[in-house]
Amino acid sequence: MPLPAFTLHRPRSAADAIALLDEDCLAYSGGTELLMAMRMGLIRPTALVDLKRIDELNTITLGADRLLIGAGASHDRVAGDALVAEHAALLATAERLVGNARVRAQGSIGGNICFAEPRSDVATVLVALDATVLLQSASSRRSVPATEFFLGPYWTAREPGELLTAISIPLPAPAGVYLKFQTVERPTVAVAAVALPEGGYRIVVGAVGDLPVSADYAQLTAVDAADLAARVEPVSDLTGSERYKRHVTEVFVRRAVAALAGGR
Amino acid sequence: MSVPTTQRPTGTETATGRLGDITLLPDGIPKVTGDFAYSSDLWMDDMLWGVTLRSPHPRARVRSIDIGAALATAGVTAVLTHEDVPGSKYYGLEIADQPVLAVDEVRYTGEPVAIVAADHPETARRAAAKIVVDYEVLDPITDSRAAMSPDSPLVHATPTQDHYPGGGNILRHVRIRRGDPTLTADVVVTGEYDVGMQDQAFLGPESGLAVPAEDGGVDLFIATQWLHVDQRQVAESLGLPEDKVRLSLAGVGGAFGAREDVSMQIHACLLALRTNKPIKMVYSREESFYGHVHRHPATMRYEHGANRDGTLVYVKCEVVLDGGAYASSSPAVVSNAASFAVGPYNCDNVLIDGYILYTNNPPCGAMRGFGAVQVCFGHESQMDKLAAALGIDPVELRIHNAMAEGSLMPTGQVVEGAAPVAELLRRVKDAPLPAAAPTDSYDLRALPGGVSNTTHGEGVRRGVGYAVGFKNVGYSEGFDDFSTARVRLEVVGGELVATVHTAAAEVGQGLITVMAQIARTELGVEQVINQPADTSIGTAGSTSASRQTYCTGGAVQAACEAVRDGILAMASARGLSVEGAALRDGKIVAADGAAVASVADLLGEEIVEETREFHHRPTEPLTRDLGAPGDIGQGAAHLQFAFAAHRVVADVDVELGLVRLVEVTTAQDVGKALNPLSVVGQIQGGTTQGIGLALMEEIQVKDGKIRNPSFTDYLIPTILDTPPMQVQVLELGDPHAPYGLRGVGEPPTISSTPAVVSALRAATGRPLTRVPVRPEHITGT
Ligand SMILES: Cc1cc2nc3c(=O)[nH]c(=O)nc-3n(C[C@H](O)[C@H](O)[C@H](O)COP(=O)(O)OP(=O)(O)OC[C@H]3O[C@@H](n4cnc5c(N)ncnc54)[C@H](O)[C@@H]3O)c2cc1C
Repeated sequence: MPLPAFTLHRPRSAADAIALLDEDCLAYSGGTELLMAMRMGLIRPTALVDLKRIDELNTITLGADRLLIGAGASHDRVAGDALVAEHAALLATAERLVGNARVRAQGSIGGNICFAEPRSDVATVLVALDATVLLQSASSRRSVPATEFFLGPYWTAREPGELLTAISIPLPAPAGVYLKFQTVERPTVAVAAVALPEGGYRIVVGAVGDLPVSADYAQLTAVDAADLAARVEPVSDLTGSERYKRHVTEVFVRRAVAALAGGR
Repeated sequence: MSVPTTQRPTGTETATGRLGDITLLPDGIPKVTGDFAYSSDLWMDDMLWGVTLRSPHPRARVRSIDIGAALATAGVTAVLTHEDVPGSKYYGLEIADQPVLAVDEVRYTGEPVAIVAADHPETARRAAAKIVVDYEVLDPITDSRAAMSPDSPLVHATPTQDHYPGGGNILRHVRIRRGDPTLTADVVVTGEYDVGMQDQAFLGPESGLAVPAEDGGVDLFIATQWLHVDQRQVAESLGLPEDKVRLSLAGVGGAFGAREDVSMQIHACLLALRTNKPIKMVYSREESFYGHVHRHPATMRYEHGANRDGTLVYVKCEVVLDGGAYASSSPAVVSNAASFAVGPYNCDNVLIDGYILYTNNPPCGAMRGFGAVQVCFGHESQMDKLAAALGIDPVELRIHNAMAEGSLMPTGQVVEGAAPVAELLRRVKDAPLPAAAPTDSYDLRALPGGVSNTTHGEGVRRGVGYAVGFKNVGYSEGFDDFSTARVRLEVVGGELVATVHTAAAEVGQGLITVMAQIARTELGVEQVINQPADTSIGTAGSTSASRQTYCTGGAVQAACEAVRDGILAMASARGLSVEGAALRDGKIVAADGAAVASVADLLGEEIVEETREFHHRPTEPLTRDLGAPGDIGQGAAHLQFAFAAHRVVADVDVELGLVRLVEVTTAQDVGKALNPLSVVGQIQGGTTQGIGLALMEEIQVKDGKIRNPSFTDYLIPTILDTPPMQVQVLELGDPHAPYGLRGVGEPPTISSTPAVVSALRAATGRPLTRVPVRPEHITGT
């Protein structure tokens, strides 16, 4: 399908970008999701706001108790960043495994979560890390926990006039294991298993259902893989039947837990 | 005539090397570096772009087509429908049943309905989107077995009974009966097997450039497998004599059978003649999945009866192939499937029914292995099952029944020349096995799931599997399958130069190298130029059926011999004694090895040029069932048989259903390896294509629609999926073939698929009766 016509804005600051955003005027970062959706006629904006020239959206900084990742940072940028490697290694691991080289070079971490395609490595890990997202509109600024940001497939708590400026990861971030099952370019099942800094463990199962499923446990031995597999809601598609995806979820949770217990 | 520009290499550059030498393909490196000029790189400054509007429905009546808004779009020069096709509105390789542009009905999703020319491809696409087609949507016929029923609605209102006596949607029914298939046996195994729809997945999409000519004709620069068969179909649809439709081969980005049928050829020429401008057409990747035929999906039912000692008593087989909406080469594919249904085994009593059906699924046609691939999965699965039932080693069972020189095909044809089935099996079996699975490997690439990091050894089991297969080389069933070559020898700038001209399509297999090697060897020259392939010379036949080195190689050899005879005659006319002389190193060399004369000196300003055709030995059509008693479907239908065997070692994560191939060992008889490097390349590539069918490659069609028309969702093996291969090449020489060679390209694709599945069965204990094997078939969930 041909790309329909639209107006392109290229602001230099977040404030200028925010002034332009509304229901018909969308943020445009790497365009890896947006342009495909426009070609398919699923989204019909009249104008796009190109975020790539806004430097402040592309920074990664260390605060006193948090790591701030600019929404425009590409997957490659996040995967290779020294601060991320040191303070949120699990995110670096997941980012290295996103899609393919082109998507990692062009796609942004912010675009990934704003589009809210359910088969996301990023969303899975952000839930495991207790991340929050920073949203800014002409009149307000707010910070929303990842668990409340994702509302369903292609659906988030972001309002049309809001720009996602950054992702905030509280420190110390939990460490652990990230396993994903992927035969095509997006994950079929993603499992993050982490030891929480305050004690206890968290298992997040993402990509397989509409939303990441997260559960905390006092002991690793308490993790019930079959129960988690029963709680996800996969749909049958080219990458496997619903039954097979539940089966993989169960095996993956078991393997992730074993790896975490084994210190891998 | 004006010629489109490509500054980049086209792969016709001279190679080096003589017959039997390891010779680099001149197009190889430019293809890897991206410098090769593909057909999609063709360019003329004043050209327009053509695009195709396709049916979104698998089956619908076309009530009306309104092109008004499209034609009114700024930048659009032409919008054409079936009404604008001046000649035959239908085309086809064997049966002209496929509309150039839909007439009153569309029969598959993606069928071309209208074409647009504009000054920019995006303009053309937008205009195409404005064409209003009023469809009356009908229920598609998508199940090939249901389509066999006499009650089924018809895909074609007028079926093709006049071509093959099938009836209803049956495009062709091939019956083979020999001996007494009503016998009973000690041990009987039955099985049902399915093969999914594989795609050739060439990387260079359908593309070409049509240039209107001053004489009212058209010049078409095109990536194809057979220039002359395109020329015939284009000319018929344009209503022009063939000499007004001239084709030149443009850089081909892979073929594997998918370029046997016409895609955009007629469309581009129609637009060029209408607009009087050059027209470039390039399919997108998605469009390419709709724009060419695929490998036929198959459902097969087998029954094997054997004595306790393993000797086959009888084999019964019914194979049903889904031909999709149009005939393409389906009648020949089903004939092959029937011919090779038993595999390379001796069996005196056979009952084979091969059916090929019209449905509203995507049209299927030629793909590497051509009908032998599907049945090989069937017969080899059965041999494993029979071995288990008898408690005999599966390789020994195969060897016990192996065909050999002088064996009879199910069609009664005597297998002439080497048929080293037992030896190929022994060789792959005797090759050393790779080391055991790593128990604590952290090299993820060595584990199922690879770098996806899905296992560190948990759930991994190893299996070893074997298979052997064969197929015909060249066109069968009485087709006069020939090639034409012109060879010229002259002195250019003081140097002796041979020029070879054929219409044979180089599609990456290495023919240009072989042609130059033949000329270099036969004429004793260093400098050989391959003239670009075009229709100014007679047909070379198709680059398919593993036949091009055989047929065009044979023609080049014959033309070289004629040139040599011309040179010797010149020498003789000048009083030189040339009894038994040959050409070597630029000289005429007498039988005793003494140099008689320099060829360059002899030639001076003169040119010796000869054109020769090479016709392979005639074959016979299969006898038809005419109600007479006795054997049917009999005849020496095939020219030559080519055999290969595979052993596959696989590690399987049985919990997740993921597979890591550890190693493939293969042995193949190639008669004579003219270029050993290309031979090994063909065997590796073909084996990998078979691995793809075993593990991942499938066009998923639901309700007549392709669900995965992209390389995101249609997966082909990458280098990470490709295991190390031990390749054993046998050169057993076929006395009937030029240089003793045997076609190489297809056999590796045939037996690799069942060998992979056999290894998976060994690792998992599951029956695995369908390819591609999906992870959930292995886990059983
Ligand atoms: C082939 C392919 C494979 C992929 N594989 C994976 C994978 O394995 N794992 C995975 O997790 N993901 C995967 N993805 C998703 C990929 O990560 C996203 O496409 C990418 O990150 C989106 O970023 P972008 O900058 O291109 O977003 P865009 O396409 O530019 O934007 C996407 C959406 O987000 C909105 N948006 C973007 N930035 C902002 C912002 N700052 N504020 C407000 N709204 C914004 C846009 O308006 C648009 O609606 C894959 C994608 C493709 C195409």
